[in-house]
Amino acid sequence: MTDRRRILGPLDASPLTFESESVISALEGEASSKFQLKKLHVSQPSSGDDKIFVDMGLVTNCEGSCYMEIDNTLIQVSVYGPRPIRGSFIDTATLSVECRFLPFLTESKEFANGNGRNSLTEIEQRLSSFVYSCFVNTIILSKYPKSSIDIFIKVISVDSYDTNFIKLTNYLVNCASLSIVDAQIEVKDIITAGYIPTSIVTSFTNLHLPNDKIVGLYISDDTDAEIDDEKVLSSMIMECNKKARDLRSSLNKYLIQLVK
Amino acid sequence: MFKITLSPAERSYLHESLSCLSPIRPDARLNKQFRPLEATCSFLPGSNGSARIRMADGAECLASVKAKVVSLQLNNANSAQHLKNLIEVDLDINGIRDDSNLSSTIASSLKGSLVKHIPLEKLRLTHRYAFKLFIDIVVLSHSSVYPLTLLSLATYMALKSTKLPLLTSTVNDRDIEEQPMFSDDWESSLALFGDSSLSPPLLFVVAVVKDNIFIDPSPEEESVSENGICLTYANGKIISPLQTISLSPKDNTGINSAQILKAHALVKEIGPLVVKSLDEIVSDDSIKTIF
Amino acid sequence: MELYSPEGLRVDGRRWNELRRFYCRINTHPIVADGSAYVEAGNTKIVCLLNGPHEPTRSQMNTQKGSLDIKLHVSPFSTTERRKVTRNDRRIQELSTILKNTFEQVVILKNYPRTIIEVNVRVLAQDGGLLAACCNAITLALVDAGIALYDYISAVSAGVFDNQILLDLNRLEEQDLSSVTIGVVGKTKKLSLVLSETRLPQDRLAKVFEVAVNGCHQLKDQMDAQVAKKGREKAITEELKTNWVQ
Repeated sequence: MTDRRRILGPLDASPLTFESESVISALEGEASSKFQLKKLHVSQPSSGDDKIFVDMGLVTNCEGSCYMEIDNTLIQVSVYGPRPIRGSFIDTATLSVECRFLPFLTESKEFANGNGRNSLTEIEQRLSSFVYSCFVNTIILSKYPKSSIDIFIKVISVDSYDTNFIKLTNYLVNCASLSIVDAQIEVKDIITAGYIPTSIVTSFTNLHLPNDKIVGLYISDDTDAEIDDEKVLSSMIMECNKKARDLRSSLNKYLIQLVK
Repeated sequence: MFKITLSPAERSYLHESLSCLSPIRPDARLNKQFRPLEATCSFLPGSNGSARIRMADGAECLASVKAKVVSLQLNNANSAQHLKNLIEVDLDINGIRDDSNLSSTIASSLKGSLVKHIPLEKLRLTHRYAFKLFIDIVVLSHSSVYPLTLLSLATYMALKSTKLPLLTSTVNDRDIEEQPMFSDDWESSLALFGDSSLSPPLLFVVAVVKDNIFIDPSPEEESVSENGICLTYANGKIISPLQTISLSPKDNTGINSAQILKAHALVKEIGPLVVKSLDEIVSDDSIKTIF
Repeated sequence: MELYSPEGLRVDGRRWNELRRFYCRINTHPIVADGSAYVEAGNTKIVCLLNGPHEPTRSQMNTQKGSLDIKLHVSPFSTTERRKVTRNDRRIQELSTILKNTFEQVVILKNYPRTIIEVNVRVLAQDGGLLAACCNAITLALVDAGIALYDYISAVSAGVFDNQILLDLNRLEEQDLSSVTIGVVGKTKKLSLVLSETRLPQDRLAKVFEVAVNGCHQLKDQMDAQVAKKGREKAITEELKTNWVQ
């Protein structure tokens, strides 16, 4: 005879009851007003062309999430963890990043190869590994032994299908950064990314460290810039740095406003 | 595949000695010095070009270039895209799945850098036909976290040793379709990079520790490095792509632009030397067995 | 094409009972593998890396005897026409199983309980006689790793052209003729491996086996010579080392 109590529940369990209609509507009203409050626009004052819409904490079953809209580019990032792992002891947390284009983005089969696939496409892999390399430097993984932090990125819609997704890479980093903040995971600093349209993305941390530090840099192969020249290269990095810094200051404003 | 696990004391010692003003590497190399490596070329009779490279720590990589005649479906709009498709890179790393993140990112960065630096017009046979290059890379064993340098050296040599048969049939088949014919004489074959001004790109992964940049980092050095940078070198120039790579997940910190420029200068300095020594191996065609 | 000319020459200029150029080296990868070998039979080229005996994951543990794991990797560039072979290709899996079954008989596995011996066979170029070359490479790698064997296994293929028996077929001959691959234990006439994927006339069988066994013995001698040579080299270096210490 097997023990069925686990399935049937204890004998003295009380049945699930629902709140009266009025309470539910009151709760809904509260939620929607909260939602209204959270709708804030973060704009980049200097660059001007990027108007960003941000909302944090939309996904409730993960530790932290962030939704971002830049024109027609829609990105949603959710962070799970730190959650315990099974198996042997490790002294730092493991980080994993998975970036996926939603299956209905069928502008090109190269980027999203339809429904029911398991493996990531080449471009998804590349985006994932860039975001990974940025955050592995920033999250204080040693604070979370024997656990894992998983970042899931969903690209819901993309503006332009340039082969290297420079712009998108930039947004992914920023969006993931905010969702890490939302998940309240300890970081060395919040990172932001800046880009020059055709070729380069860099991510920076710039508050608590003595200098601006680059945690990720990507110069794509279809740039025409002569990066052989050191001056050109450093000016490109400077420009990105400036953009990242501007974004950082507006993100700071946004976050402070959110706390208030 | 080795698992390098250093104790905290060992890590700290290694990190300290690498971050000195005049850094001391565990194997007493200079920061711009490669480990000794052995290489052979053109040992596969069935391939148009082939190369094998083995580093001192046993990391080994084989590369093969095979050409196949394909017909071009040309509509003028995306002919450039079609020409791009004439190169295919396939990577097989022992013990790592083909669709894993590592192998697909490495393959895509290799392909990205190659497309611009292979003389595509030499692959074009006639109006209708062209050679398609299949670059297959097999990594028998590797010790690095990101074995891109090894792969890139092997690919460079394989491409440099690539020879294509001489076309004997007419070049102009715009009006009448004709199967391309080739000369049977292998002596009259043309080297892919024979008189080209282009040269295959080399990708270098360097490790950054404090203000020092190290070329060809050993696994131990990688594990204490603060960050890695991957730079591409071709024709005496640093070219794109350029990107940062995380070589060790432990106590990684960011880098600053001065370090990037330093890495840039280092690769620019050693690039010509590496190219020269690899070219010497390619031009020495006395050895035809690998081992 | 004429596979066997009236003068008694084959497409590559050999006589009926001649082997192709056999070139083998052991201990080619001393750092990354416990045992390694490289085998060339004509234009067929094989690298074999062996690791073990070492501790397996729990599921593979056998308390009675060691387990043998043979993986065959066929490189996409190994054939004349490039062809990508997936890891779970039926034919590749079948060949690995055949190799595994063969070598489980010859390796003294009862000496290595609770361990696993991992063999990775990498095919670089194919020109007929794939299974035979793999077999020879694995034998050499096992010897190089110092794993206890009852004896060498040397393998070769043989085929029938009209009434003529041909030894060690290349790819052209293999495509057109009926053939059999056999593996022989040491210098005996015991067969440890027989594989025929074509029809073979029964009345020729005895003669085919005789020729192939002969070929196997020749290969065994060559493999043995290479092993002995490597052994002598090692002995000399060891001696130099001890002298230097003294």
